[in-house]
Amino acid sequence: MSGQAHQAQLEALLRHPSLWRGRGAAALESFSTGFAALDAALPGGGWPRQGLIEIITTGSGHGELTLWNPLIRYLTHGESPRCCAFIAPPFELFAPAWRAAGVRLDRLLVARAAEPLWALEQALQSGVCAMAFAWPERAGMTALRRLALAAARGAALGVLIRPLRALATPTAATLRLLARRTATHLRLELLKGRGIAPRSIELALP
Amino acid sequence: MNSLQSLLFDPPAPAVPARARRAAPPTALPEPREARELWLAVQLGGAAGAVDDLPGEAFPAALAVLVKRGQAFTPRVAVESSDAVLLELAGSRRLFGGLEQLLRALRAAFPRPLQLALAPTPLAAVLLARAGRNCCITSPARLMGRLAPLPLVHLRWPEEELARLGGMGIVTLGELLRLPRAGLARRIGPERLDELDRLTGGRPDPRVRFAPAPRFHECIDPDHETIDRERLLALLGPALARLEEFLRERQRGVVALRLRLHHRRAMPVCCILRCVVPEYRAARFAALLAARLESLALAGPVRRMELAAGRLRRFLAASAPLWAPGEHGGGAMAAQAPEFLQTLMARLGERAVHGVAQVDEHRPERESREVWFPLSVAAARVVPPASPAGAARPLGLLAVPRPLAVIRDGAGRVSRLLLQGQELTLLSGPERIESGWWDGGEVVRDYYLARTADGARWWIFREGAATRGWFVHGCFA
Repeated sequence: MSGQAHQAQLEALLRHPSLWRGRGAAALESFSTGFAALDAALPGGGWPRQGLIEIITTGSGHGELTLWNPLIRYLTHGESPRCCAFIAPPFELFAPAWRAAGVRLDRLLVARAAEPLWALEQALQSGVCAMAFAWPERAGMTALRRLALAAARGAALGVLIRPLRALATPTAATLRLLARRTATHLRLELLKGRGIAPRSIELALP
Repeated sequence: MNSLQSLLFDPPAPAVPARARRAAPPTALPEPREARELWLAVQLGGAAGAVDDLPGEAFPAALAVLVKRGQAFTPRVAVESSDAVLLELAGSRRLFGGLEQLLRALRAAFPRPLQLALAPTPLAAVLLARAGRNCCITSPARLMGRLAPLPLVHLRWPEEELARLGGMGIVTLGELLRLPRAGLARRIGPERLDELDRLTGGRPDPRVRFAPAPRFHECIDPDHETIDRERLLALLGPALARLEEFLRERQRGVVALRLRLHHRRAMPVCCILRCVVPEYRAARFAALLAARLESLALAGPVRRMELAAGRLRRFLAASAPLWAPGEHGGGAMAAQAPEFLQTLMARLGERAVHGVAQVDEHRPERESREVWFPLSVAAARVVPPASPAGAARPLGLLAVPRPLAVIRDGAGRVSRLLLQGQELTLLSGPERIESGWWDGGEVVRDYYLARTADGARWWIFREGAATRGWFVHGCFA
């Protein structure tokens, strides 16, 4: 192997998110989103490994789940696969589509909960789920803080898919994004995040 | 072994003076081989006959206690008679660090008024215990010598038989066993002879292991009627601890637990707890019951609680994971998933938590299947071919297709489709799905990918049958 190849390998290792080389801020541990444009725009270069993320949409059908497909695929196939929970989704998970997206179906979990916030907290702190999605009707600041704590405890990523009116309320989430599908793209507006200025990006979804 | 005996039991009247024992030649016979089985008899009420002054009722209860204590030392516990219990110890010696340690622990568990005797055969142990001889015989070779001086009365044979033998001048076991076998069989009958053979180890003497009650059932009556859930849970605590003990004794777990709450006037409320894997820990049951009770509607104060465990299941206790979840990518999923699912199911209901599996089927509503007890090994067994390339499928499917509002032009043709007041634009399609004519669930549908004005994408279809209605079926979430 040539020296250059060694160098490249070393560089790749040094870019590992759990390494902090003493220059600048500690790299935020993150997962790649699967979209280069989004990786570049997010703090830490991808989705945070744990915490709470709010996706705000005008309704279902805007690609708010499709956006996560690369990450769910990665997490359910990882060397120690953890599951991905969907708390009270407004529809049923359609197995063929998830399978076509490359997700391991036996790692998906659906909970039909009358109290989605309770179930989400359980899912986040259990350590069993790497990710949990929920569609809460309302979630106050206290509830969001609680969820963020649960996510930190269980090293999980919680995604709240919320209606437009949630924009009026403050949030304890690490990231807040507004998702809207255009004729050709998914337009994401980064509204809140550590160390980022609000900006908008467009992703080409399949 | 004699030193052992003096350590653990009443010092027996030494048959041989201590000095004589010390004087035994150093070239004595080698220590005899140990027996394959060692039976310890635990005799209630001390010497024979003393049991009679106990009320008859006390026997079963006292025996149950003995059996229960004995099961802490060996699984092979047998009830010999209404006043004696037998424990097989050969299998437990190693676990307790040798016979000496084991006997010491046993003496502590079965304190003084109880007579203990250890012998290679069960009958011999019982006989020795009845005779009040605290002895510890570990080799068959030594058995006969200890049995010989015992009076026949401990055999508990009928009076007249003993009287007949007494008339012949036979009062001890040694004298009886010395008689010629053929004549003995004629005099006392083959059954008695068989008993003597089992006593001396000439014949095997298998014992039926004491089988405990297979179900757990307990009633708790609060001092006063209460509707306070915290208090009810606190009252359940001891019962759950007993349940754990019950399950531990049997090395089993249960997957179903039923709690019935009786009210004074209303019908009893029943809540059934189901576990994903067999469970035995009281703390876990308490946590699950707490979650369930919280969402349970009580009709009034609870007068009585009835706790019943389902069938006992084998289970494999798992070690706790080394890494915390998330640490070193430590999923620890296999270990924690059942607990997590149980928590969810206890609060939300059993049918509220499920997984997803694909079925080899063309009708979309049947192509996806719910899996109960998700995250288990048995989850994904059907592996159908992936759907045809290029045909987009929505991640979310509506449980029931919702009809779309259709606006027709003057000629009756469809001019606009509305979903929640927004106009739909067809992006691609149609894709014909036609299947199920053979099982009564026939569908003939043309599916389209459609987009509303705000950009949301939907999977809609038009029925091919007579009605020609338009429906929305999926959501490209």
